[in-house]
Amino acid sequence: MMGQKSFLDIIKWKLVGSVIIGTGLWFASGALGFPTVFRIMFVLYAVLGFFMFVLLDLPPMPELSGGKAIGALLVFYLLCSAVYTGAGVNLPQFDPEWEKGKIQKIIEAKKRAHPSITPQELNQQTKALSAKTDDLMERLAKLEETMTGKSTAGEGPSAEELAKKKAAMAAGGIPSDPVAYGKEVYELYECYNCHKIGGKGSVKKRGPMLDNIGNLATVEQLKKKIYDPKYLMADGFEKEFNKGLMPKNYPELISEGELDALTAYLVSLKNTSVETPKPVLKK
Amino acid sequence: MKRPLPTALTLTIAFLGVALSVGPGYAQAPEAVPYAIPGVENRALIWVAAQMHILFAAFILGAPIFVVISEWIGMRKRDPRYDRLAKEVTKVTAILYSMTALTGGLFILFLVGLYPSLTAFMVSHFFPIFAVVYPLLFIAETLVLYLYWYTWDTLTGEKKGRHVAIGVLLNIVGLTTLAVINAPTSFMNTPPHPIETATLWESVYNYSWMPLNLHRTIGNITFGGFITGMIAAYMYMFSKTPEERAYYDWMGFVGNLIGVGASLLLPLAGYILAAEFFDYDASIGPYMMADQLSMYFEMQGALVGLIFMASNLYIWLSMKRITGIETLKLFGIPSIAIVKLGFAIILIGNAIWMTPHGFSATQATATEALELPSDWGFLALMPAKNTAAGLIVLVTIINYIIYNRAIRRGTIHWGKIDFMSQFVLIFLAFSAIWTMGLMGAVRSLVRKYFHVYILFPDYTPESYTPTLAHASILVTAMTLVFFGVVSFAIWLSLGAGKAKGS
Ligand code: HEC
Repeated sequence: MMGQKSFLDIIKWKLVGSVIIGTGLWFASGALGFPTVFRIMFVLYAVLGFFMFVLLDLPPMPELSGGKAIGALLVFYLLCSAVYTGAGVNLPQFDPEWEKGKIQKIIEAKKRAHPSITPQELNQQTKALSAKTDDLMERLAKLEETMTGKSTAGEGPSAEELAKKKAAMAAGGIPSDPVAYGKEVYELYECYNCHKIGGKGSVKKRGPMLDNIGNLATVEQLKKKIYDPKYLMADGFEKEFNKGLMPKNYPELISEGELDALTAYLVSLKNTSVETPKPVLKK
Repeated sequence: MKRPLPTALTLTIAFLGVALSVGPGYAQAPEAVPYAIPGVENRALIWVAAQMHILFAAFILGAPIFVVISEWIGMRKRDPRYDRLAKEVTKVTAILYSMTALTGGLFILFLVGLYPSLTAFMVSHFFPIFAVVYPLLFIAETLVLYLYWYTWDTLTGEKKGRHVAIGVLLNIVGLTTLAVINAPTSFMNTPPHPIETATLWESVYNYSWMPLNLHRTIGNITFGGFITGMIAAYMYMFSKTPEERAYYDWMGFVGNLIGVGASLLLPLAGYILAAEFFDYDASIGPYMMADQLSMYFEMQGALVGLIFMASNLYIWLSMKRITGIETLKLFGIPSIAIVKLGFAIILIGNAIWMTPHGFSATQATATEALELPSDWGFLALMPAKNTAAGLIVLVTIINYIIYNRAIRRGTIHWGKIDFMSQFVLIFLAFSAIWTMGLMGAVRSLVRKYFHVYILFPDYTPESYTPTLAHASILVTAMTLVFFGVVSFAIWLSLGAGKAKGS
């Protein structure tokens, strides 16, 4: 067992050491270009270290029993609760309003396209129905062809045009400017998590910067890339391409109307001062 | 036929109409509408019900794993302390078992009342499991648990081996139950594609099923170990005789050993589960680590760091009660100095572990002023984190080695441990529960605004990612309630009950 020391003896050198280390960390991290939040965090590490080393050398705690022990336990629980809740409340928060608006937009668009369906059933029903109607349309078109002996082109809206209309409906009230709407779609589906445009977005550089993509790819190519990521590869992103980083579920998420707008936005990006990698066709 | 297509259009519209008005034409009962309590979010209700259920379930599934091992060691070593530990933990388990059932029932009621269409979808998708397999397992689990408990004092001596066998059976049933209920849970995270043609087995054996099984099993052992430490701490504080103290001091030590031992594997299991999520859909990666949930992980980093610090502090306090440790040397260096150096390494490890890539809760607004300088970006990447975790794990193991050397040379004074250690044990239990609550929320939240990822959208008003503040308040409240119930169960099974009996 350790010899008994006074409290001051225990903390004296630890305090000096922690102050030196804390100060050193503050200035060194400043010189190395760390932002202030990080510098504060480093100093907090020194404070934590101080407490930890003091705890190691404290003389044995007096024993408690009965009511005192219960009281101490309750205080201890409150302390733990306060520390953890406090930490959770004080860390940077993701603002729900921001996401609420986004989700609302995505869902509203889908609801508008299918007003008669209860929202809960929407997803399954749309899928099943669109498959069925497409099938029906196709058969009708075929039937017509055999009956009239010619293509229906030119007489009323073609199946293709109808499909386009449907897609437009699915997108809901499309803003008149497709580029502005496309920018919104880009934000809606959080492409910025992996891409950078105008210096904003993925700090970790998961995917390429897209600032100059308008000079490198066509609308058709971009559409194909978004619905099928294996269609083309950004030059120099072999590893990411092979790992399949770019999500492949966009056909299920992004409607065709949204895709039109998104790609209209992407092809409008023609900033040659940013190095956007060349697309390499893979299919 | 001059204008054939309008006919087609009419037909289509008619078809749509028929298809949408599903069901018979006579007076229809209204569709089940989600119940709403004014002023209370449905999500918060289901969150609390699910999390409370999981806390109790984790204990009753995790504890038997080391209970039966402890019983077996007691049998082999003829050391009655192991058998007593096993028996006392089982006694608490038996009481918490009813809480598991109760919260489970509540969870199902909330699901049906608050999320009727999702529940209907899930139940019908996994019908054989919910209707047959799970109930049977639950009945089996109940029977075997009670069998195990009530034969403790009769299957002794020659027959002890049979009792251990029942314990093993209990674990087989328990782990199977866990795996079975993990199927719908993991399915909601990573449903198979395309769902229309997926077999039941493909839905069960989805992308994240095995990783979740692994993670939850290890997590349950960790959790059970730390709760055992807490049981011991309570009993230590309120025991009257030196013999009792000595025993509960020992039990606390074993509880911490189990908790830390299992938690050494947890980072790996967590990594596998996360990797599987990313592999399923790479956009989950940034959602978790860089965007909406990034600060949840910052919090987790701090919690894990503190847990390792606290459990090593506990080992340190355990060492202090061994006479002879002062003179013990390792490679010619005083062991005390090594342990202290170890703490410095833990501190550095924690610092690296906790340093995030940035202090912004979304990449959409991320700026350089809140991010690591690019030269130091590696601090936030996996290799750095793995090194940090590896260092902390290494120090923990070395501390146990030193502890073992010390008890072989010196004398250990059970029951004489610094009283502070009991608070360390309780802190560990508290932090373990808190971490579990937080990370449980993360697993659920990575589904984003879907109930079943990409397949079944969440149209409720609460489909957004809750703030960390909101989650922290809920998790703290649940931790306190759980502590209240467990404290009561300990008092009932080991405190009040025993006072009457002896
Ligand atoms: C999880 C990360 C991730 C997300 C989210 C993501 N991408 Fe990508 N994207 C990548 C990666 C990595 C590459 C480079 C490898 C490749 O080509 O597949 C890439 C490549 C691209 C390219 C080719 C660029 C070039 O220079 O050739 C385009 C265009 C693109 N993404 C558009 C989008 C759009 C639009 C979205 C949102 C709907 C999006 N991405 C979402 C990771 C992502």
